[in-house]
Amino acid sequence: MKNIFLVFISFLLLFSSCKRTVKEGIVGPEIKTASSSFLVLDTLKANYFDGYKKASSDTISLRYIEEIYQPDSTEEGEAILINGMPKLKLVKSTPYKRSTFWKVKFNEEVSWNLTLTKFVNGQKDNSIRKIISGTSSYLDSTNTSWNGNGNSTLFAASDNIIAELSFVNGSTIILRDTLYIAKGQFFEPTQASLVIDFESGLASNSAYEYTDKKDLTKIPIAPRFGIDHDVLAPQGANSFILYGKDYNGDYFCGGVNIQKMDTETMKNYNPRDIYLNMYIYGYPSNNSLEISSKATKLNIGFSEKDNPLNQGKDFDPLTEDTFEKQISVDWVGWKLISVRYADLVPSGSKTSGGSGNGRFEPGKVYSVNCNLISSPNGSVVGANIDYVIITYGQPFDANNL
Amino acid sequence: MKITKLLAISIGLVASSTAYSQSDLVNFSGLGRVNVENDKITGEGVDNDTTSIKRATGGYTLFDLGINVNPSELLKASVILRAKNTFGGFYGDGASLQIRQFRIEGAVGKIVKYQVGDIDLGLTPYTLHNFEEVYHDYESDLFKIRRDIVSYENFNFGSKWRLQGLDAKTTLKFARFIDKLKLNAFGTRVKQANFSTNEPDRLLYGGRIHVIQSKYFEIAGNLTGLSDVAGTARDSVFQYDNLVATTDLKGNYEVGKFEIKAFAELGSSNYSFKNIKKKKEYIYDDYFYDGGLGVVYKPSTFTVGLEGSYREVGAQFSSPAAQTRRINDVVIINDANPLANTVNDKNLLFSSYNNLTQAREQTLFDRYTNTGLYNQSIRPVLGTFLPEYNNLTPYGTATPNRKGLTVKVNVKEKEKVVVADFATEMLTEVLGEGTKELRTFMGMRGGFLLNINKLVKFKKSIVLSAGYRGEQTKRSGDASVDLKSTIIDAGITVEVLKGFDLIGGYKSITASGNEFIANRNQDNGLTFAYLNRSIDKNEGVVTGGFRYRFNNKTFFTVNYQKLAYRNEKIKGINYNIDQLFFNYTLVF
Repeated sequence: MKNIFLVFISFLLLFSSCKRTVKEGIVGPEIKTASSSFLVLDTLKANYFDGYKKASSDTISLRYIEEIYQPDSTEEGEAILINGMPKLKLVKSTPYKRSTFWKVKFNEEVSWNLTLTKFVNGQKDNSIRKIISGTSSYLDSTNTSWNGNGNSTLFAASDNIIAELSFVNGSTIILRDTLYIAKGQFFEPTQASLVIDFESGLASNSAYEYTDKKDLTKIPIAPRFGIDHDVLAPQGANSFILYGKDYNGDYFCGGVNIQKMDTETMKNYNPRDIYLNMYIYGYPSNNSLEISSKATKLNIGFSEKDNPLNQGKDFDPLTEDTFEKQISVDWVGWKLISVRYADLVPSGSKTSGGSGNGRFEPGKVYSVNCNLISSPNGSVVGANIDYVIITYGQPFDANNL
Repeated sequence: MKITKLLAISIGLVASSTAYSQSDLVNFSGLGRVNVENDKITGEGVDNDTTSIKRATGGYTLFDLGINVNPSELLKASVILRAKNTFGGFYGDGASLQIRQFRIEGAVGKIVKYQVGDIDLGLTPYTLHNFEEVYHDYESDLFKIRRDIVSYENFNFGSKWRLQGLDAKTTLKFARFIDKLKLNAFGTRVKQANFSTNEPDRLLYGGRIHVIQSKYFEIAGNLTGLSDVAGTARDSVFQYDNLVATTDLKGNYEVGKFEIKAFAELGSSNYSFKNIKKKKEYIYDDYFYDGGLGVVYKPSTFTVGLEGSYREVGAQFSSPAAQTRRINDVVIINDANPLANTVNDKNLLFSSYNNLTQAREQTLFDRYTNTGLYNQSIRPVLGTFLPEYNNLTPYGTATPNRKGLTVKVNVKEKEKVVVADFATEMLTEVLGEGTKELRTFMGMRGGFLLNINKLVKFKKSIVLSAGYRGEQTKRSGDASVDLKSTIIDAGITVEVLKGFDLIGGYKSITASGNEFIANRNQDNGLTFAYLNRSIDKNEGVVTGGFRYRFNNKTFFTVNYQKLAYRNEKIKGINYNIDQLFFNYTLVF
């Protein structure tokens, strides 16, 4: 009995040493309820701010272009006039990031939520939305600044958006504003370089798809490598589908190659500071395409034109480098994948980029590649990709544009 | 000829002795199942619907073969191989083969028992616990059959979590001062590192030291830790660590026909989350205590137990291994819930209807029939939940920000003619959530099971069951809350022929009022985006069918279920789902 008593006392002493960080007050942000005399004092409206100019608009751009014009002249230096006025020529076009924000005022402080949702054919596409919340008596650039990011997804040029302002409690008022995005996000060259978002197809981005010809001799699975609309994209309307069956058992099914690259910026960075990012979609099990998620792999990476004897010609897979990383697409839905240039490994195929000089030379990047692999071989495999973007210094973060 | 005969007999003896040795070394266990279901959705929500799917048929056959190898007394290896064929994929096209479970068990020096691989672990309700979040103790056997399938598929065996790692335990006996000392330690990995997404490995580890002083007194110390392992991913953006330490004790004393019990558990948590990119750090500590007394009266033919306890769980008490929800509640986005933090749940049967404009919300029916709604991993962030299903303890007994009294009564008759229990909880919050006003919670749950055949001395089984769970949540002030919800269960099983049962059942939930649903960000903190969810709905399921029992574990059942969903808040979205379900289950 004495021992039990001693243990009990020790128990209480031990408990007295437990700490509590928040002992009083409230947990979480305070809910400010709209009172019965709550009033909205003006109209909810989107505004943009591009450094020196603020304006409201139904059309917004996530970038603005600063254009500098000069009077045009002939080769001899004579001014060119049109209807007596000097003709101007564009000498410099510089894009800048543009912040969009909303403005509205209330007569009291209240907790609010501003929901931005993509609007397609008269209905909301809830897969791309953004919720901005706060407690204040107004909305302005200090509390609703927005750069086009969604809930880990992205809004895009040509998207229609519905912005809805509602109040957490006390008022059933919902304010709405609809707007159109004319131009998509802009990234500083030292921040990121968008490779392709598939919204304007492949040709304009010097991209092309290819299929393993040895798999084409069999039916009934017909391979698909191209622009896709069936899966809701994380940005815009299009993504790229890679799909097929590895009939001949060589693991390779096909892929896409994108050659439009900002090598001028890339050459200034160490491979440890360059990231290749893209959204990858994994199909659910029991999907209608019979895709095996366990066997679906994507090899993503760069090819470099680094053979001095091959300058001026196409990429030579026998003598030039391809660096890649294999991603197992074993999830369902869209996922943002980021791989560092320095973490890529030379291609395992000696005849397809595995016989180059083996050195990372970002300034000599020729293309971004994405190849569909079946491993185990012989399976039906598939995935979609979207928004391929190169970032510098850190992986792409859609929540922090 | 003689020599040939002798040779044949010798070979036979050797073969039979070898076969005998094989069954000692290797034995088999397993489960086979065939499921077929036919579903239809009707009602005003689909009356003019020309776009959505309104009928569906599906099913599968599966066979889990357990191979258990015992090469010695101190070592055992077991694997469960699964072959599954989904309907529509006959002739092997849709078939899959996978390893469902792999485990090695043994003993080191006959003292320390260990298991490695896929293991089931559990400690106390505040440290490592897989809790049931909706009350269903007295539901009909037909609902139980469906729930057992869901539990089996999601490895929900009792209150343990299925994890991958190592567990070791030992028991030491003493001659003086204490009877036994039990030691247990485990280490598991709950999330694998992913270089591509910069996510590090996350480990769950811990243990228990349990001292059984005598038959009158026990005391134990428990520890669970959940930590990211730095360096297992390049550019780790987040670093998460959570440590929970508790002590629990029990006392027992018998006086005549009375047994008096005392019990308590108390402990603390330390939470740390670092966002390396944003150079932000969130650290907080909190504690809990839970203690009570009970008395059991045991006259000759029945036992009656009465227990009362009081607990306080701090608002920031963090114990992911005890607070992770088994089911993923999805608060769908619609006009009533415009701020819901997630998109519509495509895992659901008939996930969209009304010309694909209306997402179908999870119902009671989905929660006991759909294996895809369940979660099999420990989550560091408290998940969103639908408050009408359980608002008192949405994260189990370890739900943070709760304090109050719990009283339980149970009755068990020795011949099992009747089993009944009742519990009531009167709780409040410790701190206000978003407001200084505190929520108050009132809950009652209970039910009975009556073996009528034992009462009237009838040879064939007739069982009647009924259960009830009611909850009320209130909060005054500007951000007022008033939510009531009631769950009712009723069931009857009648054995009409030997092994052949006719079974009926009813299950419903009625909920009305409002509640603020909180959203949390990556560091488990509350965000501004509170969702004021207003509901007025009823879901009722009626079921009837039969079951033929080949033995205790093998049976065939056919049942028909009808779900009626009625929503008084949003017009035009009511519907019914009719389901015909065939199931054959074989266990050996």
